[in-house]
Amino acid sequence: MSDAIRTAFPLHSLMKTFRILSTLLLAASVLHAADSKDPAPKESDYYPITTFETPKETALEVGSIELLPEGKLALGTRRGEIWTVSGADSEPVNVKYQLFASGQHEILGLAYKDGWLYETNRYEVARLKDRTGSGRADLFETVCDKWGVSGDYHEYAWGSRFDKNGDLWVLLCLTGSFTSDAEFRGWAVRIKPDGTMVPTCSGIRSPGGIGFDADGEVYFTDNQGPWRGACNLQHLIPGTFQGHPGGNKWYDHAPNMGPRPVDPLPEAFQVNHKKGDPDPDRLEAERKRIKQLVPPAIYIVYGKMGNSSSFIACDLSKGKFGPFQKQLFIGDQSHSIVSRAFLEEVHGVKQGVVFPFLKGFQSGLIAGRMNDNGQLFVGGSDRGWGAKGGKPFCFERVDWTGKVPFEVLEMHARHDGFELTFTEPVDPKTAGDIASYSARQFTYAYREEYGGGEVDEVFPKITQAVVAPDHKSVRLTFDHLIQGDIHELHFDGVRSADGHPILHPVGYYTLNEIPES
Amino acid sequence: MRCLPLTLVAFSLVAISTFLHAAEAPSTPEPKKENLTPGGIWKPGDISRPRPRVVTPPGYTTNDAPGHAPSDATILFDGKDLSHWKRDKVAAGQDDTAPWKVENGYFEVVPKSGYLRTRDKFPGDTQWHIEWATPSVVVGKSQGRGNSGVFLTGFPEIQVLDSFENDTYPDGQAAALYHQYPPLVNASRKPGEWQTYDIIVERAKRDAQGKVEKKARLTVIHNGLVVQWGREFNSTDQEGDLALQDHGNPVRYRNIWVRRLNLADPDSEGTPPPGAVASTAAPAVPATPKTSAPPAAEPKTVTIKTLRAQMRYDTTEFAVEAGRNVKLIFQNDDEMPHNLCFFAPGTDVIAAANKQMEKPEEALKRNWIPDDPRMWVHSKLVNPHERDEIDFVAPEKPGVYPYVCTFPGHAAIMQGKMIVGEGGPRLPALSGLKFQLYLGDWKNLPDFSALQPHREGEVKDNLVQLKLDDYKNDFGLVFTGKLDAPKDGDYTFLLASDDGGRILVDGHKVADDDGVHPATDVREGKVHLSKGAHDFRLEYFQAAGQSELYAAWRGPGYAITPLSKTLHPDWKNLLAKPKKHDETTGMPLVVGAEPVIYRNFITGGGDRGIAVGYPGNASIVWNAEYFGPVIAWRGAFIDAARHWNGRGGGFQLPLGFDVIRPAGENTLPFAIHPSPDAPWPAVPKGERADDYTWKGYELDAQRYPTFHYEWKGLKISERLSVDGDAFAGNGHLVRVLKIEGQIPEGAVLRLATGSQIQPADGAFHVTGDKLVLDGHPFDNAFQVAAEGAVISGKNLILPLRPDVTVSYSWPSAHNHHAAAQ
Repeated sequence: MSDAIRTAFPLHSLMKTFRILSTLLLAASVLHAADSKDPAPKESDYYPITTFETPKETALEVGSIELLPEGKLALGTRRGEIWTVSGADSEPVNVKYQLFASGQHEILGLAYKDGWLYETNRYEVARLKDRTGSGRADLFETVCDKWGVSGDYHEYAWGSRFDKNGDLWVLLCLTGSFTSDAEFRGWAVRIKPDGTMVPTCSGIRSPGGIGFDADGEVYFTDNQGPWRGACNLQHLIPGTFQGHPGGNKWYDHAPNMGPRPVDPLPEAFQVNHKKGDPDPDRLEAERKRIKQLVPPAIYIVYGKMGNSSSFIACDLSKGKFGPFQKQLFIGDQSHSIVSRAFLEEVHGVKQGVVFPFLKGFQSGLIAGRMNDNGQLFVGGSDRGWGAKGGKPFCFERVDWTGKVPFEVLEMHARHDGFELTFTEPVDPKTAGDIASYSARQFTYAYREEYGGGEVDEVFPKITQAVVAPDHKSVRLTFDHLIQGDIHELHFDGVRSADGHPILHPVGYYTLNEIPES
Repeated sequence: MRCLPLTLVAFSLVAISTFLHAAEAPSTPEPKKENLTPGGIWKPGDISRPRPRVVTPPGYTTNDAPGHAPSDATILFDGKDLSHWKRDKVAAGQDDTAPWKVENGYFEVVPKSGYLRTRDKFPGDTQWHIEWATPSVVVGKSQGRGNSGVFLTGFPEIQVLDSFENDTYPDGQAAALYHQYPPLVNASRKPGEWQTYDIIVERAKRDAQGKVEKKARLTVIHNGLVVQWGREFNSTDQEGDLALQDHGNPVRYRNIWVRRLNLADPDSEGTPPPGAVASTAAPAVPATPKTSAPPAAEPKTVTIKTLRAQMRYDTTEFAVEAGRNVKLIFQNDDEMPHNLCFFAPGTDVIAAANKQMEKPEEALKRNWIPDDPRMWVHSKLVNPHERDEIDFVAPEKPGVYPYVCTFPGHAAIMQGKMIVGEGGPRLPALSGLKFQLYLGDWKNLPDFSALQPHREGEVKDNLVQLKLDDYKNDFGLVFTGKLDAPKDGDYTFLLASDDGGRILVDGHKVADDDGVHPATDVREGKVHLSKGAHDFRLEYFQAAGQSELYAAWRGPGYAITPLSKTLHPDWKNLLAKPKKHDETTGMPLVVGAEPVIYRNFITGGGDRGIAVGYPGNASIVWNAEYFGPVIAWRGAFIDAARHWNGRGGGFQLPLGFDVIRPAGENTLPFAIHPSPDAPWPAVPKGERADDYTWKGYELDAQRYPTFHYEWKGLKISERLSVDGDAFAGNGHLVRVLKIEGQIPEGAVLRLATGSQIQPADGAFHVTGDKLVLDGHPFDNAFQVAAEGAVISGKNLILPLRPDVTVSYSWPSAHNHHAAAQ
């Protein structure tokens, strides 16, 4: 740690003590509220989970979900089956399954267009059709099989839906954690409608899902490992390097990508840096050296917000899923949870915050998709990677009851702090009290070693909390911000106008850029 | 001439193996009784114990000449050629011939030519012998002096270096496990002198749950001295090859061999004691049980196979009606002997099998068929890749009859159950079933006729059921429909309900289970019915808590038949409903009336394989980058357990037998004017053929795939099917190609390649190139028939035309064997 602000701020332990004390005080007041009024709100009051029975003859290890016409769904599975499902948008007893295709090599991407169902399997994008109306596909037309595959189990291929240009994206897992033994392993490629493949982003490690935001921008989740201190949400901008250099040897095969980026410094060479220099194994430092490097839009803080990020589903239901319109919902395989993310753009870079959203799914979530009615369908399995859910596989749905939870709706970076907006009017007394909040700053080392803990921890001081006249937002001022750090913010003390605590009183904001005042 | 006797390898190994055995002892199971040796089978001094195999030990190695290899070793270099070796990394346009120099009985690193690797992999625990010498003229220092290395799959490099008075970092000197363990001592000889490595590889062992209970271990003996002793590693590889490093120095190697070690059960490969040949005679217990039942109609055929290397049956449960004739085919696809013994219901089969250990010598004489009155039918002890057929009549008494392999150590996991159900056909289902749902809080069945139903409707599957609505408590149901009695006679109705229920037939109460209670007891009632339709009515109410409803009927000569959607636990066995195989163990994909497609990593099938199991008991992997059926086999299709459990990594060997690779590995189907001597067009690993395009496949009405691809503007489609039964030996794999477009002059299709191709009866007998998959050697012998096929060098080719039909078949059935070890 060599940042001037950090060294000028020696009060860590004091702040820690303060934070523990305030948490205790707040916990007591929460208890008090619970005693005096109705039972504490819980997630299922707002977003109940419905678990579907699955076909007896298979293990429905859902790996991809796509919406079909007439309210139907298509589920692609790790066992290489595609099931079409009808009735999943109504009562669970109405659910009917039809085996559409089988024998495919692991389906981690489905996209529907013009009567064709496009699948991304281990080594190709193919499009499937049922020409006879039997309910089973009889045409498996290869669209693109241009990427390499070496026979290693880790070389998963994740497929997107069609982007705003009509292209499909395929994310190609590295061969294992470190290396790229087959062409374009560790890359995102786009498949044009004519089947040509365009190498689009390097630096991919081991994705868990791909999706779009409300503007059609493309994101994926990558998993903790070498060069990834935590799982994260990455913005896929064509031509960029996403952080893991394992696949960069294929730049020779991708002239459209321009020159190969400078490699990030392996830690072996990082002991010689001069005192006072920024730590070289920090992504924030390497961003200045590697011009193609895109920082994580959001770190999905490891252990706290999950261990294995997966699908990305955007709420485009125009309010049918509640107050979180256009926000992203991100699955986690290991914790069997869904988190909620709000993104903004500062200096042309995406960044934002992740909040807890919903827990208690039956198995490790892999795939998720929301329909226009605001129903979020999820599914997954715990095979090979354990999951808290406990069941070997699941297919489930999340609905909104119509009741608005009291949550932080958005968290915006400001030049000297953050601005929070809320789903419900706040109690100005608690929301305007700096003791209702606590904050922590930290980051992860950017290095070849597998994963890694939180580093450079600092407890900033919140100096001011100003409630807006409409009581729907609060402006927080920090004594300092640190570019590149995760800003963890707790708002345990804030109450709604009718006295309720915030359902999920923590958010983790990744501050890639600090806006001007 | 200086004759420097190297330590006598044979001598030191005897000493080492004694030591090894002593070290192993604590981990072997304690004898169950004092009078048995470790392992719990053999008595001390037991004269009937199999004799250890006799192996001619290796010859004496001197500096001038290597000793000959032991008689049971696979010789990897005998001083003549590098045919057992290949170039480790093959670049574009290169073949994989080993590029190092062979002279004067040794071979030498050709600097910058790359590593050498053995062509074969060797499964299980192994002992390796390698002799090496660094250059006698010393050049360089530290790591630059005589540097090479020995790589065994799963372990770090065993360093080869001139470490005679040449200092370097200790974990990089000769016999170090590179960057991990220095050798215990520096046993190096002078530069230019021949040195030996004797290496013992112990592969990781897993327990029955698949957990590693013993890590992989590596022991290295350098010039007769132990330098690495039982070093443990996390590798779970179960086979491996040997690679030698090109580190730019001209290091020499000679006399390399490997032999398999059976550390776990050497008795199993021992030879019978002198004069004990008679003990393998027919077992003492008669193979067909006595039964008074008259033979039923045609026998039910049941096939139970063993799964390779899993110590399991592929079928762990099957159902049969009481008194039915059964033809049971027991096929042993595993590499060790197994049997199949049926016991009476309730028998503790593990205990019954283990009881034999009390008198193992007698059990051995019975071929491990227990002498137990509860066992009522059994197969013989079936050797690997053989089969047995037993005919029996299923017992009259319905119940669960366990079966088990009683060969020592197998019973704990190798078992299954035969469910004998009530004999006779099922009664017809209800028809026109309707329900009326009532709401109310009752302690006994009310008079529903006086109440107004809350909701009513049809029950589509005509089975009585509770999940018709969301109500969990305080509701009642009345079901009405028609029963169709197939003949005059007494019929019994069975009912169990939680809470109360009753069945009425033609308005008369026949079974009554009224009141608030669990559904534990089954109420029965008998009624005489005339042939024809009768009114059925079932009344039910639920107060609170658990809700269940089970109903069934049986009739004159008819087996119990459910009337409810859920089955009472007591009836499940009576109904003899076959269960699907266990999801987490062997998961063989069974081919029925339609072909089964399985795209995954199949050993020998390449990275873009599409396995297809066809009706007719033959299967292929069609490969989407080599464009053709790259391997084919007969018998069972594939076991998906490897890919559908855990993370699913690795390549799966076909489940069947007689794997053939008709047209070479990583090669393409077509060539233009190929010379008989030139190598056939191939695709180096990691590269793609740029003049071929994979287009996908379609399925016809019978769900047979037709593969589509393009080559030089031609549109090619290819469909395979099986004519006859390949398992029985009379099946042909028929491959039909249709080619659209202007066929280039001189274009030919390669049908087969092999060391021998002989015309015979309008077809060709082909002895294909050596085929070893996962360490299992296959004969790769087959027949090819195609009109217009001609022999061209090592290839059987066919001038390309728009319609091509080729058939492949296997040698006759009695000749087959898979993976003979």
